[in-house]
Amino acid sequence: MKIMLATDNPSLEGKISDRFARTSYFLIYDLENGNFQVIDNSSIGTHGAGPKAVQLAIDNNVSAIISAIPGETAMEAIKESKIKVYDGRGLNAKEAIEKFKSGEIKEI
Amino acid sequence: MLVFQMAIVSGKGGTGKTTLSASFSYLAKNRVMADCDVDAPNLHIILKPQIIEKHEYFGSKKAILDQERCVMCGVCEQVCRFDAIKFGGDRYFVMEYACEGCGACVIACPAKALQLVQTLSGEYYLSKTDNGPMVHALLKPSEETSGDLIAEVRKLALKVAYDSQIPLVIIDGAPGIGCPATSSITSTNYVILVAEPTMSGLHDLRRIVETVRHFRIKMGVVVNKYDINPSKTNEIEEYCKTEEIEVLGKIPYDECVKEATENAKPVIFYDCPAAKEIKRVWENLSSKI
Amino acid sequence: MKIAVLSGKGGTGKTTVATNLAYSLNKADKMVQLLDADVEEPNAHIFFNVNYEDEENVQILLPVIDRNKCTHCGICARSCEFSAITVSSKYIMVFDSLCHGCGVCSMVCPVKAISERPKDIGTIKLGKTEEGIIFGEGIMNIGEPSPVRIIRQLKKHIAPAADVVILDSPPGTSCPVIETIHDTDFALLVTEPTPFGLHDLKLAIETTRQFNILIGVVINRYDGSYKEIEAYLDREQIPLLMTIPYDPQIARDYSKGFLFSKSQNYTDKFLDLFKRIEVIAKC
Repeated sequence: MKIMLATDNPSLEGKISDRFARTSYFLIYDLENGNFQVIDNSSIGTHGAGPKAVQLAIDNNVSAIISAIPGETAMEAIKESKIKVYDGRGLNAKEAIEKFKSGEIKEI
Repeated sequence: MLVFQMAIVSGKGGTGKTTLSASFSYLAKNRVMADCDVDAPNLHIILKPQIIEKHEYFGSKKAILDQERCVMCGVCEQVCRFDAIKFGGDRYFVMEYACEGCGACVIACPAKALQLVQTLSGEYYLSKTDNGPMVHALLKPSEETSGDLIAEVRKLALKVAYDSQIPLVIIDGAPGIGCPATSSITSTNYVILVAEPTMSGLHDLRRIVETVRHFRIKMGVVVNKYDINPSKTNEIEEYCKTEEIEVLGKIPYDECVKEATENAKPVIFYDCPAAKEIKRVWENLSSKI
Repeated sequence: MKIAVLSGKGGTGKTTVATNLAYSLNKADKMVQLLDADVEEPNAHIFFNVNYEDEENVQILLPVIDRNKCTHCGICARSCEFSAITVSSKYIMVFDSLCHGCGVCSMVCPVKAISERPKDIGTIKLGKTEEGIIFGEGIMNIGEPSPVRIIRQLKKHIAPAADVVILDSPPGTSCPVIETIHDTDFALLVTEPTPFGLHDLKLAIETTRQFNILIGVVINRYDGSYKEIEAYLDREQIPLLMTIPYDPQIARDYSKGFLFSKSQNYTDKFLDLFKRIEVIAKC
């Protein structure tokens, strides 16, 4: 199972960003083997960032997103996609993943 | 630390957004200023920022026509829904200003004579001012104000606020009610609407209120030059009451504002009724942060 | 002759100049058309009693997906420059608010699953003022991102029989303004004697320069104290065609929706302005 985390920098120590669609980086983390892929999102800032981000999640077969609260358009797209989104504010990627595994993280 | 973002917008241009923003930038103890009027920015005239960082902004894509490849079939003109391709003289050409960068012509062209190219639409800057950092931008003339450059200004302003541990971002918003204005408003905690007591003032206020309502953000109204038409000011106050919008203050028409503007100084540097009211509005706002 | 009245900065007096110029020319028996292209916040109608005769909707075409035909190939989503379509193996979603109505998605769909439906983005209202000025205005719907298409449709109603067509432009220097001044004969730039006014005037002039259009300037709220604009115009050899004095009565009249050119003194001044525009246009 893969999850997508919106982070400030491209590592597991990176803090969960306070923005979803306009975050600087997305980490696609594979829960099965602990591998992760970094997607540089810093060139975003254009219209349609929300749907673009969700399309990215879909294209990478992500089942869950951990981020701050997504904006309206992004939220619409996430709902339709049936991908679940969780509140990772205040955590770094590593912590967020642990909390997700243990079921402590809250769904938005 | 949470960053509080407040935007000052008006719908109609020229009501006094920048005048208010400039004074607020000095009244606030710790703030990042964001000038989101990227089309015709004015805040820098008063705040006199020193640029520390300059960033290029590549915004819209535009279609470029390779005349050598063009077979003059005219399909591009037919598919373009933005009237951006015209035949003139002896050739087809793309009117850059009208091109929305959709790519329909690129797809339709049988001779592969068209392609979409990212263009340099403007620049944005991180600067230093007397009372803190300022982020501002300038769109190249005739570029499309799709709000994206404004999104960059907002993004950088928020980043600077977090990095420097500054808990407040004050946004001098873009005029109008379209994309530039909504990009100035989105994700803010409070919106200040500056209205003028004229026939058009109330009409325009309604439209910007409806636009802000869509974002479900708290808002308050400041009536500028309220005494040039007391009955219109009254109408605005009644409207605000019905709509349950707080009237934050009413700034009197004051010669000192003209003097301050001409001297490129914030109104609150002067000792006058308008300055007094602006300070009072600020006190009111501070309690909301 | 088509005259676009514009200014970089909002609130300098475009509508003041456009409406009073239209009124004065009409009084001098010219066939005048006034078009309010400030479609986000149209104000010109406030100064006249307009008898509206016609109304038309401005529309864009939005995609409609036939979910039975859709194979979820995702080509439409990938081709959309505005990220308005999101596709997964199970669903497809169109974001109307991001859609520019360009038609690319329906062009590229390999199974022809995309058709289109019109969406209203604004209105054009046409009529005549009680003085006989042909009047047109565009109004953009709240929530729409861009006024350009509405302005374009408004300009399709330029009356060929009119002696003078006056276009009240939106503020600024970007796309909506370009759309307004495109294919006009003269750009009348209105400014105010402040550093803001000068700064934005320069931006507006830069914009007009790209389009090789004749220009002239009106300084509104003039009281002789701030001289920088005149100095700048002098250096750049740009004609200063009129000054409107800083007069609280004019401000009050504006706030009440009165045309201050109803006083003969000002009607003459606006007629002089037009004469000067004509002189420049003829050279």
